[in-house]
Amino acid sequence: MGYLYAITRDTDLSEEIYQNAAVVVMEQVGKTEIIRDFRAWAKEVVRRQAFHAIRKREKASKFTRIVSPELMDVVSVAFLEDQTEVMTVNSESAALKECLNSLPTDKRRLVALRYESGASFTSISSQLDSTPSAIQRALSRVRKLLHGCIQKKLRLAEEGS
Amino acid sequence: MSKRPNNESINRDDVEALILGHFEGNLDPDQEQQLAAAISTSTESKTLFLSHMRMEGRLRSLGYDGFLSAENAQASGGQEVGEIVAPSIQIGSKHPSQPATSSLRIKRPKHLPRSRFWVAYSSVAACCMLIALVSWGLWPSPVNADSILRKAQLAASELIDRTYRITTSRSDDQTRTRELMMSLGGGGRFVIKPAGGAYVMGHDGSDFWVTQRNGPVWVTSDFPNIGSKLGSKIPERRLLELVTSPDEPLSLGISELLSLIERQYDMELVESETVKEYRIRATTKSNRANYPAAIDLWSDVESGVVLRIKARFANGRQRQFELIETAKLSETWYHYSEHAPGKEIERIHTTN
Repeated sequence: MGYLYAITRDTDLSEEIYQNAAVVVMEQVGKTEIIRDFRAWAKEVVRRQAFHAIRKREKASKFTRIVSPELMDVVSVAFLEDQTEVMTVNSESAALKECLNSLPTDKRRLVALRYESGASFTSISSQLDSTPSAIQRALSRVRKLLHGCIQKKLRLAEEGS
Repeated sequence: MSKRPNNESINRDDVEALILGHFEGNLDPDQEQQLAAAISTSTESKTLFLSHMRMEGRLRSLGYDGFLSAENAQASGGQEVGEIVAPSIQIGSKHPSQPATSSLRIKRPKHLPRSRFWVAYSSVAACCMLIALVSWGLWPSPVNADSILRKAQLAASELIDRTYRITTSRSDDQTRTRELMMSLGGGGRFVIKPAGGAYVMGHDGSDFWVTQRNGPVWVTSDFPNIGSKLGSKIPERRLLELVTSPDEPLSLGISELLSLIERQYDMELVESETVKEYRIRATTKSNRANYPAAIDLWSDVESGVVLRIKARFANGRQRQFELIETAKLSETWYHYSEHAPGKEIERIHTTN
């Protein structure tokens, strides 16, 4: 999902691509053909589904601000080449949940408004009696905070083992 | 976020600011270029981007499934994050006397929580029904250039060994052609041999390698930089440069070519000579001289596999791919040991 959002910056579109890719992957599971590197193959399916969806979106709306092709390519290559261990990915996931649970209530609510309700900065700012740019800055700091918290937990776990 | 010249190196904080800006959708084209340069030239920046990307994906998934609202939050028994790693964050309020979050209510999620697998299964069921309708002739077949390209892309991504003959001809002399054989195994694996067999190069999924008749095998994991490292050591350096150059998308494989068509070309379905093949004609939207002006692609109606590609450049030169064989190659075919047994191995180390 992270990769899909990175190249589409559209949660609904990312989810749609994800579901489509899941269907393709599941269809393949039922076939007798052997996929030798399933992870690489599944990633490639996701990338292709994403590029197809982005192309369709470009045709549908000429006014959408899209990610530059250069950045899209670089991100796609990084995604395809990413060899991060499954264990690390799972540890990050667990750490994020802990970090979210440790967030002060106001920041947690800010995250929920943005990621769960899909509210725009303007909408959040009107609910919080603030300004869109202040909300954007606050969310940016929360993301950085969460990322730092995850990395710190991973480091501590590594040192402890 | 401050801007800086593209050629100036940027530190970790600047890269992180660009990454955060990207996920907020507020980078301008110059900043996107800076971010792209940082990710592609620095391993540290790439790692940082990927970890942010994974976090962003998890947050969106948790949000999509409704696990972020306050009622789903577990009671925090430990220290708060803000106290652990950073000063507390204040949301700016237009009225300082009023707490910024006092009247905050969480709206119901736009999407109800649901299981991805349930959605995927129901989607598969819907697809099966659609396929059944099509097979019974109750539904018109939705064949168009887009769907053919997608099918070709899926076929090209299969981990199946296919061998193509590549023929290139120069702009000034169409009678002088050059032939190469290229095996593609999916997952980025390939082996290329020119007709004379002066050298062989390939990629086994993790390492890129190249060898010539009287020389060692050069091996590296840094694929894009091998061209410049070996340029002076092998006689066929032009091809090596082509294969490793990001500006020459036609030299490596079918997948890359299909991706290029998808991004940079207008497509139309044209009449094929036989009912067993689909034919697409793609015309470039880009003005980059190294992209072919027009590409004709033939694919198998049943499997979607690309059978032939003819690419014509504006200056007259042409390149053609032709499927010769689909046959399982040996497990070690994409490894250098298959093509250069007993040769000395020289590992090339390049830096970011």
